Amino acid sequence: MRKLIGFILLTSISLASNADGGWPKPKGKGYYKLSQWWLVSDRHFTSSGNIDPNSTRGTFTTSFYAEHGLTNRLTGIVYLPFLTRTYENTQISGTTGQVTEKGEALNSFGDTDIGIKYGLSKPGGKFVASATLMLGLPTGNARGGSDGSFQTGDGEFNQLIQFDLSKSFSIGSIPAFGTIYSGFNNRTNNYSDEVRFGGELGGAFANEKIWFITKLNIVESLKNGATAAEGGGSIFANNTEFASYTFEAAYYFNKTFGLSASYSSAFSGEIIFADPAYSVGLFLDIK
Amino acid sequence: MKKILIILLTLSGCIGEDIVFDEVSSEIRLTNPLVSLEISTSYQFEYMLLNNVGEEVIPDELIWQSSDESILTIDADGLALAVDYGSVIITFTAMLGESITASTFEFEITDETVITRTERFGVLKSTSSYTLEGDFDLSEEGDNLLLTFESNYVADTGLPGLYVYLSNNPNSITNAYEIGVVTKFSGAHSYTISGVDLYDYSYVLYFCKPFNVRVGDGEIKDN
Repeated sequence: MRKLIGFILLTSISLASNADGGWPKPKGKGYYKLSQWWLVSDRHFTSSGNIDPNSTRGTFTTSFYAEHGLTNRLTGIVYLPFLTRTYENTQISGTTGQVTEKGEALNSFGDTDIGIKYGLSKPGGKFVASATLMLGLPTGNARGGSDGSFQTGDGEFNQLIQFDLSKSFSIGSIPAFGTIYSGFNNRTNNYSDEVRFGGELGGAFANEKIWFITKLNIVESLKNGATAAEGGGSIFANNTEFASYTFEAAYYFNKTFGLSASYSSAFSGEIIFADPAYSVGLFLDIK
Repeated sequence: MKKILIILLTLSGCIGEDIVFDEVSSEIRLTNPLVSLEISTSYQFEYMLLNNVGEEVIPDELIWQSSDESILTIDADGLALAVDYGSVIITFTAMLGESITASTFEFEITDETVITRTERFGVLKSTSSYTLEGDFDLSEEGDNLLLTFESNYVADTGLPGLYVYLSNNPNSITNAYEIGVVTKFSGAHSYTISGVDLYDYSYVLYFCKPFNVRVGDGEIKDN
């Protein structure tokens, strides 16, 4: 789950509004967002891809995300999940009505991502290509709670290299953009490395005050690390795979300030929760 | 800053409640069964009453009955006296509130008291999408029990926090005996268990703690 969180937030680099995909921010410009992401689930994709039940667990993350143009081709990126709450419901016997296991929650800082995006193509070209290096810092709690399964981070330092290819175009009078990407996430501490790829498509309406964006994200684990069982009680920290889709809408109150909301769910997966995730956020898009 | 954190926490999820379907049939069973009882000797039967969640409880009343008092007599405390040769069935009925639970047990009156059941058996089966299979036996070894899995044992490695228990309720670990975290996922291996008697539990249960769900189980049988 943590990796889904990380992944969705990480890849929301390219979706949050009409901001970006492969486009680096011009020097001094930026995109900044305060958002809340959450997922509550009582079922999960198993290691064989089937869906099994589990006790209800929830994760709520409040984060700050920023892209800032350091030069016209180099953009600095930071994702700070400064408050992450993960919890499990209290278990009640359906026969006796007694509590069989008291619910539990953990509040802490999550795992931080910092990185840079570099424009490989010259600004103004037909296609925009960029390369992104993101570093995942283990600033969260990887073994929280009474049984160590309450996590706000995975406890490992990972490095993601991603390439984006984007193009802006029009569908009739509708301004639109598309992006495809692929990436490799090198993970440490015996976690399996990951290959990631996907794409997004967005269009603007109402004089570019409203943007609708849809995304496809796929993560394939190389399964070259420890098994989930060897990871102790950690949930969804390793060998996670999924193919997910996201629908996002962004509304600009004015030229720079807006509100966005998204819905994400998985078509398929392994070792990951099987319920949808949501987010809402306020953003500042300085162009 | 503190106020902002409080607001954010308020907006975050609260701990709710999950209802666990943990009902099983109540059960009464002998914990010291025998194959045969020597004629003209007595034997004190012991029992365990389990309620509808597999928790051991004390009955309000317990009635012992012999199928043939010319062969075996048994008093209100479960003390049996072998009177004559032959086969006999004892019936023991427990009353707890409005619940009545009964069971029977058949054995022989012979020239020798034989208590040979020092070993019980079972077959693991998965009750989830995770792999779990294999034969096992539970045997007495000195003051301990030995839970041995055969070479056909396989458990899924894709599950975090997999634990093995002895339980009287395959749907719950509430009153179960935790043997430990699973570290062997294939092949023959064993666990030494202390402080537990051979007839204290009726299931070997594999349970994922972080998910709070049963992965699979095997009923412990006499043969």
